[in-house]
Amino acid sequence: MEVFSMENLTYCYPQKDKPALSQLDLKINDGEFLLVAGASGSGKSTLARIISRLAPEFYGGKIEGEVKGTRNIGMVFQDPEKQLVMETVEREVAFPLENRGVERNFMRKQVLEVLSLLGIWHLKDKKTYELSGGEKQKVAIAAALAVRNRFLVLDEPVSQLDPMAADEIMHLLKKLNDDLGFTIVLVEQRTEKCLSYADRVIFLDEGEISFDGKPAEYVKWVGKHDCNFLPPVTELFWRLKSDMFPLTVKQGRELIGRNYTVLAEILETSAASSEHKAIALNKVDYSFENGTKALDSVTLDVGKGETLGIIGANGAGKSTALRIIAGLLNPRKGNMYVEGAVGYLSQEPNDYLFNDTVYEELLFTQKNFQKVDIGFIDEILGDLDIESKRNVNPRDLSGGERQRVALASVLAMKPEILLLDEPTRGLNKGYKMRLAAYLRKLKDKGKTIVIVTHDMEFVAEVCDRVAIMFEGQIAQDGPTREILSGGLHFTTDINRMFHGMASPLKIDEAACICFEKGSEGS
Amino acid sequence: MCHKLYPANAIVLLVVLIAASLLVSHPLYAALLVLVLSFSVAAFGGAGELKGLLRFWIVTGVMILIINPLVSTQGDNVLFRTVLPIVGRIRVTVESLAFAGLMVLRLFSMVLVIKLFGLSIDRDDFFGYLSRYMNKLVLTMSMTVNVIHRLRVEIHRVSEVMAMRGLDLKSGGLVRRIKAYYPMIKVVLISSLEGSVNRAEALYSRGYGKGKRSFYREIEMTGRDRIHMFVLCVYIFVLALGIARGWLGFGYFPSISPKGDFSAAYFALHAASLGTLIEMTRRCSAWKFSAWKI
Repeated sequence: MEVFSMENLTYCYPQKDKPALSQLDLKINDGEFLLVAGASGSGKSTLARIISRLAPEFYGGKIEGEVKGTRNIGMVFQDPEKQLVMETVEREVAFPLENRGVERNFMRKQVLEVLSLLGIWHLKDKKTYELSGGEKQKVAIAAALAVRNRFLVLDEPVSQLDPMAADEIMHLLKKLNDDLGFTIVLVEQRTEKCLSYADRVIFLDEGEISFDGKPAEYVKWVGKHDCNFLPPVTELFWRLKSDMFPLTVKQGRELIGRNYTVLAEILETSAASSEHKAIALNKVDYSFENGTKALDSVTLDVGKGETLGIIGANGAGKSTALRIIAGLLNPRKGNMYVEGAVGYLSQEPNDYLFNDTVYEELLFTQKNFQKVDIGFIDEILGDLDIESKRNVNPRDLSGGERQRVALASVLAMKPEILLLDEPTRGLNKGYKMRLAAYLRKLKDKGKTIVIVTHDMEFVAEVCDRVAIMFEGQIAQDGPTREILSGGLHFTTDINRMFHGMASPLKIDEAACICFEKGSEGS
Repeated sequence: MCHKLYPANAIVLLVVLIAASLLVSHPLYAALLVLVLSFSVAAFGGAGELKGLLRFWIVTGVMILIINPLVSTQGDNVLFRTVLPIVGRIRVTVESLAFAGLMVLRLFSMVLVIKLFGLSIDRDDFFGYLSRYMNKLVLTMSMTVNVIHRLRVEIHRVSEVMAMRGLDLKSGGLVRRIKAYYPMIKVVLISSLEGSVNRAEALYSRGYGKGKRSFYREIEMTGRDRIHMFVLCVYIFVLALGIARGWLGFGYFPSISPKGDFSAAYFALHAASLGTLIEMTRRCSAWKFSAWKI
């Protein structure tokens, strides 16, 4: 049964000439899980706003065509920080009910039900600002469900979350869809976490639907169109020129076992680190003002010209370690040594951007260090592929472009050591790979790089060595392949797929050791 | 469910204690107010924050004690006279020093009153209660208050980023420092503006402002709140009595002298009523942790 439809819809934001969506026809059925994919700026978020009626009711603008169907639609946004308005979880969930003038006893029942349904009853009396990112998103979903919406629109709800929290949210959405028949529209540009959950996928390109079909058909279509929108597991089979495309690790493993021979040869391990240490932490302790111990006797060396990845769960002390190295925090105990100028990229690129143009942003850093070098600014802009944005206000750029401008503003000071905190957050695969290539280039120039990340694919791409942190301590430290191979959580999807067969971490490596059965000798 | 102080009581309490901080000029009573409030805030679990405030208090207190005698040259009892370059002739008196001491106590007590107020209310309930009378304005205020925590975190983060980009926020004169802070403030302002659009969108999607609101929690005045209000009225009476009789007043200029005779009985009455009020406020606001019930 159809719950929502739009016909020949064209929408244009106020004061914009170019439509954000153009002549769209879309029907959504009751109980459907629809994935909306597409590049940054393709109109995905606008479509979500049209479905939830935020556009044009909240945004204004010009709309043509017809929109029909339910108005009882809950909306969940990308940034968990910016959508919670009350102080406690219970009141947050009750807030939309209060706004609709719902009777008190019914409100209580609804709050109780949704908190229990989503398994967050224990958070009821917590302050919303004390919650983790994943918990905040669950509270936002609870608030959207409290008013008995059976139709949810979610705009990149997991893009700001760590992988574990993202998995939890995806499982929750699947449960709502499978067990309770909720209609879900999920906007996402990184599809690896959600493609297998969807009943149907649409792909937007410059405000138009260029694909509409089942996930299995989507991977065939998008592989021809742009491999950056394929999950790594599926992309491997494109490289292998297979005519079957798995959506999950399990399907991929079965396909490998059935159709391919895997050469279990030992893959190259990264070279030993330089004897010359650029960073050395020796038994470093750090506690926050409230007494929470963030680092507990951390000993860590990074060789000059080495790229180290620091991974681990949220709250393990990764970012604190990075801020200690940057000199932003002073260790309570222990000693440390850092050789060379340090550049630091925090998790939030917007914290860097305030000048009127991208060029001035880079110049600002150079002026502070009294190292003005216009030629070097041009070089960085070219290297990071933002030369065309030179005279654009950085706040007018997309998320991926802002991230590169923030990085460029750090690189402008010519640091010897580069510290990056979650540099791939919110970036699509294309930007991620470009960033990886650029970091490899910096490494070749002898720069020392330390990356804190949850992104295992990125770690496998760029890091020589990996340290896993757990409760403020270094739990394991070694070459990337040694640490990630055979890992259950801290490894790549590709490595999981080859468990027990070989230890590739990247698509390239996996493609080199897989041969179609019967073709090994050829 | 955790019951906090009834919002009307909290408002009256805030007004009365701020008024007391400003009207009481007798150093003994001003010190008593600071002492009682400090113990109460500490007992409320705010001891850590008091410790944090101590440095600010010492610095501010010392500054007031230095600046006020330099600016105010009134008073008969001269401690010393001198001539300073630029400032000129200086005459520091015992009276101006004593008055500076009173100002320090007033500042401390007002900070403590606001702290106590924050600890004694449930913010969501408090703003929910007020929104019945000043609907949208109050709700907007409530949301603004909730944004403050986020803003604090953001300022800290941006200052770290700017320091790493070579911005020197700590050295140089006042003008140079203000200039140095400009980029940081600009980042925070732009981010806040962008954030406010997202927040407004989230509010709209949740039906805010679309019709008549209902209230999740009925905020009723309990027996405890009534007794608290009674004790509050007693304190208001005691305060008014002290002001009328001049027991709470104190003359600083031209020379130090109490405005009325010291009454030991009144002091005991004042201390008892203030102590009872503050302790009742604390217990009313956190009764689920207390064995004390009515």
